[in-house]
Amino acid sequence: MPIHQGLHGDEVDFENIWGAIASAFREIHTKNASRLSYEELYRFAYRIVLKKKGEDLYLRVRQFEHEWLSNEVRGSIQALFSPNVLASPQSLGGTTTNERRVAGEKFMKGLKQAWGDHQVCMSMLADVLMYMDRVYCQDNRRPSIYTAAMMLFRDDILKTPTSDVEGRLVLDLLTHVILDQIQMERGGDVIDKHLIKSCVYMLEGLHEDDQESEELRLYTASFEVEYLETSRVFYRQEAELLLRESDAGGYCKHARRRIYEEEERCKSTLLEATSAKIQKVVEDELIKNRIHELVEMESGVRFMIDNERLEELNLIYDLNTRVDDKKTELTRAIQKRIVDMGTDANNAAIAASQAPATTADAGEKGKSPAQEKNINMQTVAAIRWVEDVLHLKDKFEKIWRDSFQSDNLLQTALTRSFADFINSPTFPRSSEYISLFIDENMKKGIKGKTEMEIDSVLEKAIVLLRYIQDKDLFERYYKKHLCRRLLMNKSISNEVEKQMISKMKIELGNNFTLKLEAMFKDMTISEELTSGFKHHVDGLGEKDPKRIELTINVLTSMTWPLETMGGTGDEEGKRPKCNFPTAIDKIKRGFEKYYNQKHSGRQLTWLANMGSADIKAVFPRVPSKDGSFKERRHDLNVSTYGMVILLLFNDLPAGQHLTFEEIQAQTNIPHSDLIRNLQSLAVAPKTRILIKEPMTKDVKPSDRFSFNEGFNGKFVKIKVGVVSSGNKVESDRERRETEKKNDDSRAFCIEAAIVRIMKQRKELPHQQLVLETLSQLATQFKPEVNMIKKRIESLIEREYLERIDGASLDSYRYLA
Amino acid sequence: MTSTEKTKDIFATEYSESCIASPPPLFSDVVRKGLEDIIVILVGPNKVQYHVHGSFLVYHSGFFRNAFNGNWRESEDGITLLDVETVVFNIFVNWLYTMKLPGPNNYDWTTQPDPRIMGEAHKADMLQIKLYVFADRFMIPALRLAMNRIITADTTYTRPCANVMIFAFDNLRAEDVILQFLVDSHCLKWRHGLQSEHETRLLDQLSQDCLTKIMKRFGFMLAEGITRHSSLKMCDYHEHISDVERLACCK
Repeated sequence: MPIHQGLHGDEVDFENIWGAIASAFREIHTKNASRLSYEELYRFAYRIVLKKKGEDLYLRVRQFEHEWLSNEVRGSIQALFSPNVLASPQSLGGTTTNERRVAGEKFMKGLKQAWGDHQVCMSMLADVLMYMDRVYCQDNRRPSIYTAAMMLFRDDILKTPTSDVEGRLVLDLLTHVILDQIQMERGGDVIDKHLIKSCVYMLEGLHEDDQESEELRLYTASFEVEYLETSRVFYRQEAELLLRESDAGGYCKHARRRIYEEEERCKSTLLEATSAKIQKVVEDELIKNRIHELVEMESGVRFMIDNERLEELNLIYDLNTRVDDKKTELTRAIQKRIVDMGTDANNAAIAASQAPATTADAGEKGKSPAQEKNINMQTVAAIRWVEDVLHLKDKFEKIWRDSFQSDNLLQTALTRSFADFINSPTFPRSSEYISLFIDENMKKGIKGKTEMEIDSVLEKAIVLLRYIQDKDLFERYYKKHLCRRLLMNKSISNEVEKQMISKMKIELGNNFTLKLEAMFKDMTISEELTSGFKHHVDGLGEKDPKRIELTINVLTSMTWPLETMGGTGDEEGKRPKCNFPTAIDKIKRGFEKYYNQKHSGRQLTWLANMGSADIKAVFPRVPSKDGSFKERRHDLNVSTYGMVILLLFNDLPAGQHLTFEEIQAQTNIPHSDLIRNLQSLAVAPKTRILIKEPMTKDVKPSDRFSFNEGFNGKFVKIKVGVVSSGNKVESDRERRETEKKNDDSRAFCIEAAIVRIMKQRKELPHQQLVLETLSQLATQFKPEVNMIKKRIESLIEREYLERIDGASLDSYRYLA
Repeated sequence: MTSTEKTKDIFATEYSESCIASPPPLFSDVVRKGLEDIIVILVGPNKVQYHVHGSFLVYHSGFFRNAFNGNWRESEDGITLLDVETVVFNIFVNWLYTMKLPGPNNYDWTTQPDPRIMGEAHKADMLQIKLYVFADRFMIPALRLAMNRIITADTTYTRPCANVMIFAFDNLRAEDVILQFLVDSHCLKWRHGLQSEHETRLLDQLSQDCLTKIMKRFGFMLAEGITRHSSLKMCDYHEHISDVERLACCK
């Protein structure tokens, strides 16, 4: 059959045909392919495979490539091994960085060229051998000829030793050169990233084994490992150096730049797959292993806080977050700083409140005024403390917002630290100070401020209140201060007072403000009573021009902390009744009668120590110091006691005098109150309405007093202040009392809580009862466990509870 | 060109067969390319000229893709296929432009244009096997698959002619499934003493591979009790790539 001629026949002259193929391949390798016929070469290979010589062909091609690479290519690569390439940066034997870089680039260029040529040629060969690949390689599970040839490049070029003495492989040398170049770039040089990337792609395209397993790419198995290791060493040393030579802010900036650089390097020079790994190395070496040192440096977090280095704090936050979700180190440093600064504020307040005690002892001659001054200074210190804390709060709030990206964890930490120093056991005054701060603002601070400003002041107070653990103690102080403000009309705005109360209500709940609100209610009712009484008196008929006007405050005794008013709490109950002058006594009885008509069965107790009076006083014409000779009228505002005292002199003939004892006998004013009132009336220079003999600053029982006819005041209205009438910091003694009272009321609260719990649970082990009691009282205060124990004991004594005999745990039972 | 791009190029060539999945070129696109896209192919010993659109050739055939995409002589001089018959190439070209092969009847195949240029009138079965060989050699998977189905679809398939078997065994690799199909149907339909003299003479020329396969097959049939009344499972020769495809085909 003629058509089959030339195609037919099992015998293929393999050697001849292979000879033709091999010579064509040589042409391809020498870039002379354009005159070759693809059809012809393909047909040759096709015929060979068809005639079952596929394996022979495959092996021959591989052999051909092996020889080509070994004989032709390897030589050209070897020629690139100049001493400068082989030199390592450590053995600086006369090679400069620049020389090394140039030689390295030359080497990489040569390798890249050889690899590129090999790829191009092999893809042409693979085209020719397509039928072999599809039929022979697929049927026999051989790697395609292209793949096989790539492996040959690995084995015949990359894995052959270089000519240097150590006998390093070309592959190792390449790794070394790339690492060296990267190191140059880290040092600031400009390198050929593109060239390196080409070499990296080569390593990426080749595998360590012949199975082409993914994790054994040369890049990963050989280069990357080295890269990470040398980078680790480098960054470890760099961290050490930087910590020694740079400040923390500079270190942070540098670390962040390095992280960025490495990320960029993976994109431009290496592979993105390395990005996460190298990041980890940098983070480990520059941050994780150093964060503690960094934070603690002299220029570390403390310095940054103190100098408001918000940007640096943000950097350190960012770095810490990279290596630690919890930001442990930063949190710790911040907390420490807060507690330290807070403690400083505490100590300053303590120092300010203790300093005067010594000056008072030193200044013998003027004990009372000095003491007054001291107490004022303490009040100033208290307000100062609050402002310090608020300032601190603002400062850290700002850092938190601007530098810590409003991080939740750090917010919790900040809150805890503030609570820590505010409630520090070494500083028991925070409740009192905060209340005083509000007091000060209510009396003076908010004057002339806009609603917005006032609101922000109130808000600040609430912010601090949040930190307070012993809310009950605060309540006690607040009540005391509020009481004074209300009774003495010291508040600038009733509205603002009420706003404050409603803010507290939102913050601390209804229970907390119940009594405070009751105080306001009393005030309102008192106003109504006053006007009602006035109306009542008017209705009685004839109008007495000399009538005394009465303003009355009727206070519910349980609601108001009255004992604090006179400062003589221990005299409560046995307070002697002051003898009022007849005119006063009359109106007093009049009111009592009026009141009893409205509310029968209520008993009124008159608190003369808390009132005040306006008196019109006429001083006769006597020659005065300034030479004037006329009658002078003054409106005197004095305390109720002061009024009682002054009225005594009304009945006394001119020139006569009364001794201290006589005054006391006639008025029955308590000793200490009397001394203080007499001091204001006879010692204080501007309000010396009485003359004291002898003229000393102290008041002694034997002193004699007479009316100062020659008194000359600058103003018509004169206010006679009585010592210790404002809201001030408590003395230590007062504080002990307050705390004792607070403990007493705590005892009551604890008992109430225990009974509530036991009533519901019937039986409970001791430990659990204590825990539940603590949690129930958490919003009010934190009771001492010892106190709870005592209360339980007491309840057992009073047969509210009993111990359960024989229970494995200490347990109690509720007795109905 | 960076080595990245090179790597990609190489991948493209290496796995070109899988690229068939992309849709074939549109005629509207192809005809706009004008003469640039026309490739001159000289076919047969008489070098009959064919002007074919390269886009279609390159799309369907790995061989033509490589021939024109590499830096070979063909990309300038065109291509010469001396050992391809025009009757086979005609059918290929028709298929290339229409995606259609001659109809199911023998008649459809024997009336193809110029079957006599090569001297002897072709029988349908011979023409079909030649087209299959053509598709296999020039890496035209779609045509190869279509021819496989045509060859194995003929249920009335009588015993393959000896010259078809001789040609197939000469021009396909030993593992090609069509060879097995020819042997299996040969053995199934073999009737002792019913051969013409011409056929008997041709049978003497069967290659050793072929004879071995026939021998093994007869042995297998004896062992399995396969008789002339049995039939072949055509899916055995379809080279199904998955069971799903096989099931779908069996329906």
